[in-house]
Amino acid sequence: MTLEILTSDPLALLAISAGQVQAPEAEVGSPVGRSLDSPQEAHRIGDPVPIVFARRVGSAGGIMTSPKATEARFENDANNAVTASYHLILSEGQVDLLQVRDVFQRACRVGTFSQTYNRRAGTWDPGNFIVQRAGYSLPICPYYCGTIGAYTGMSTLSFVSGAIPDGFDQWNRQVHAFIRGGMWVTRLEDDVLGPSNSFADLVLWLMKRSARVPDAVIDLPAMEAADTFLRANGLTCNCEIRDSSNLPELIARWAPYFLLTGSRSGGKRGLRPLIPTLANGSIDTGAIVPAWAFGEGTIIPGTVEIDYIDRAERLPFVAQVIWRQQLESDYGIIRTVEVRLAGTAADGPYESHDLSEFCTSELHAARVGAYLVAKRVYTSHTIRFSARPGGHSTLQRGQIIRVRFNRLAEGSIPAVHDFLYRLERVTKTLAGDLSYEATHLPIDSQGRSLIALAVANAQGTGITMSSNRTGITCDVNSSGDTTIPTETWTDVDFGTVDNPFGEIVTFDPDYGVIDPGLLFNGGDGGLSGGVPGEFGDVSGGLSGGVSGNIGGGTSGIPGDSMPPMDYEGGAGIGSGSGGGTVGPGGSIPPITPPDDGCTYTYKAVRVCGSSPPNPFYTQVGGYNGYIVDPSDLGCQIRIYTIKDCGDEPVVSEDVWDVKQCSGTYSDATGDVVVSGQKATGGGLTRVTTTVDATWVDVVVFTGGGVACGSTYGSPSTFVMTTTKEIAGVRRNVTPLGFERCGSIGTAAIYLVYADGTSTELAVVGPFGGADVQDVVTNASFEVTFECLSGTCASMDGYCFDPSDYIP
Amino acid sequence: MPLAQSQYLRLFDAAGTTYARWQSYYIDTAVSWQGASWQFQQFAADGLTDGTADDGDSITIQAPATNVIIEAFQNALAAGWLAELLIYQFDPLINNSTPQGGQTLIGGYVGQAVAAKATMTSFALVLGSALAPVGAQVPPRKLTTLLMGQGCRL
Repeated sequence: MTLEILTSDPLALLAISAGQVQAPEAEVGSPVGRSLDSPQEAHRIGDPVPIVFARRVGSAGGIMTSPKATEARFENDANNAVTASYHLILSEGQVDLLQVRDVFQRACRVGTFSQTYNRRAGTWDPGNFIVQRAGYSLPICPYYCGTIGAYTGMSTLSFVSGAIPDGFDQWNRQVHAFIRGGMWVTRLEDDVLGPSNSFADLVLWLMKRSARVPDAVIDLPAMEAADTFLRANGLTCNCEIRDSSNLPELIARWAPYFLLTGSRSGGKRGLRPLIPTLANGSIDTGAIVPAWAFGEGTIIPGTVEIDYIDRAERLPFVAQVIWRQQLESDYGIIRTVEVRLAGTAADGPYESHDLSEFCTSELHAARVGAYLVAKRVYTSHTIRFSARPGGHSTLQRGQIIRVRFNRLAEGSIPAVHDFLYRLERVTKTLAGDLSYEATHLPIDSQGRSLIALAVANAQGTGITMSSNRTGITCDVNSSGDTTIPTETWTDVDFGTVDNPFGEIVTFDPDYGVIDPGLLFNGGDGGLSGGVPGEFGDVSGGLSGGVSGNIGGGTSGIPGDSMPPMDYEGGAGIGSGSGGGTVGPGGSIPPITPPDDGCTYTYKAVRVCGSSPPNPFYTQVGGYNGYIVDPSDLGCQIRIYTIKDCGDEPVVSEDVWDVKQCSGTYSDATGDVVVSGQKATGGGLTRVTTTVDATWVDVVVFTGGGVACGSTYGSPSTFVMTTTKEIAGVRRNVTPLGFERCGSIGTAAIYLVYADGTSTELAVVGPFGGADVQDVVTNASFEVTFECLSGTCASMDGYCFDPSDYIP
Repeated sequence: MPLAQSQYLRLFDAAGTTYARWQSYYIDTAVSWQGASWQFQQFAADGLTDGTADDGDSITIQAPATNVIIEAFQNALAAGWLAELLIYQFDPLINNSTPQGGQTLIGGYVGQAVAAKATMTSFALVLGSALAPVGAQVPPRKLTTLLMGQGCRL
């Protein structure tokens, strides 16, 4: 049977479709269907911030939107002509600047406007400034005109109508804007930040910003391949998303209309084409070469299952695909494409698929229709089987396999089962066996995929329609005016109050991927003050914000796994007894809670600059300590102790600043030279003391602070050289120290631990020096030299703070 | 030709910092593979599924409830660490004491620690995806008073 795809836009329906601007079903929300001459709509608190995703390329694409207002202004002149100003939200993120010809009120290019991003557009103040004019009736204008907002991370539009003469009310009509370049995203195609019409770009953006999927769990190669496929086959997406849904639902609903499907490969999420493709994204219309051929030798006996698709689901039908012919700087026209298998379904049945939300190409619509028909008619069955591990163990979903086996019945000639399949599911069991589920891939006598041929050969009629606009034009601005008005905006100054409305800022689209488990910064208590934080745990965040308890300090409790909120109204977060400065490789000591019958919970949070706090540790009953990583440099490690004795939990905070020692230090006093690098803010005090009778003229340095020792590739070193003949070195300060080795003529440097064990660090001889690698925290130690040979008249020792030395 | 499979498990955070590298085949020894050292740790992962977006939502790593496992898995769950599981296939007759250079990667999985179960003697960490239907709202943001002011009523 020859597959011939017929696409048509029946003339019988032309008149109807040309004037058919019906509002679509509510859940579809096609922007074309909205009434042009309707009252201006207003946003409500809690509405989703709309996403306009579009890119006009050539004569297709872009989208006409009807943005909702958030602020308004009404005033009348001496002749009672009303001028209305509206502040509107165009889209999440930044969009291309609008041209004069692209803005309408009702169906007319009128008024003036200004567009901006990440702030409030226009300079006018909202309000009703209508006054009674003598001899005229008072115009009825809205009284609640809103207040100025921050509009962080979104594109906004300020529209000012012309002065509408007395007696007319066109000032209250809906504003429309034709957007050529929608929300900017980093395109997979060229890694450029700009508008896009690739469904793969949209899904990738949503995975990162909406679902907060870590990059490691995104199948980027699959997304790039899907993007290549979309561009190679003209499957574009020009849409406006203003109704709430969720990402899995969006992918499940829209992906098939881009001939894609969501995929999970190795746990990573991505998109994959539904038909065989080549590396350059074009449809593979050549002979299919299977990646593997299974037969009796590889299939485990008794595991084959074949399910044939019901006849009722394979009947030929007419796919009626609805799409949107998007005219430039004008309203779109709803169009239809009917796809049927040649010689079948002359009178239906019809199956309608509405792609008008995002499809602006007849070719796109035709190809989707061809796929729907061919897939349904030609695919006859699915197969499942298991195989022992072998060379096929690397097969992945989407690859083509061949399954061929004989059915040998006694007294009958063998029946051969020989088909190509497309893998839909591959399961690798712990025992090693692999389980495959695959869908029949119908091919012709040349081995070519029938479905791929149908899609590749599908073509539109090429018929385009005009806007069918008639009557005297009401445009004041020219339809050829491509100028972009000067950007004007209002800077919002909330003064020193960071949380002026007692709200919590929940999202910033420029923030990048946000880690789960966000920290709530409740501020200084109450509704105002403090730093607007991120929302971690909803209950904890709200209660902490309102009561101000959790935000008693400068930071709140990590949002996830939060303890019960029964300590509202408490004293807030107090300072713990620990904290201080620690260097990379240094250790934050463990904490053992007292045995007082209370429950102690410990949380550790890493705070780096303006990045969202990152909770990374939670434990009940004790804190195991932490070895500071070099990547923590410049950050704070905050340890929260939550003490719960049955009443209101008490929270305390220890803050550790991770700093790098820097600077240099050298001292050549006496016979021992110590050199190293000095910490900023550290200090050494040299004192002379006598330790005991054995050690004479011991010179020590003392200093407090925390060491910057490191074991992460940058050893903590200090160098001691001496011109004296020394017998040993000694450290006599707990908890860490050096112990005299007792060997004549040499000095052994030991690191002595609090439990009495020790580690030999180095041995130095006369006139020698030692580089000592050390990891110490919150300690000072001295090194003294004992001269046993008698050639030394005096000994010098040094006690110095290792925090003064570069790790 | 007999075939053996070895499993490698790496725990890391979204920033890329690795907290553990374990392998469960070469008993009581650490092996080098891909420029890193992999400690022996008993664990077992159930099967991997490569399918549609709704398939393979999670895999489970079972391990004995030792201190190392408990601490690592608890931290992974609390901090939302990621885990990468790799399964290699090789001929043990060629070399059964160290990873072979030509061993075949037959499966891999990257997931986030999303759940855990434990008994007195065992600990199971469930790896999945953060693409929760409820949490992944589209559009992601909602208008608040701070963003849009009090709003107008037209």
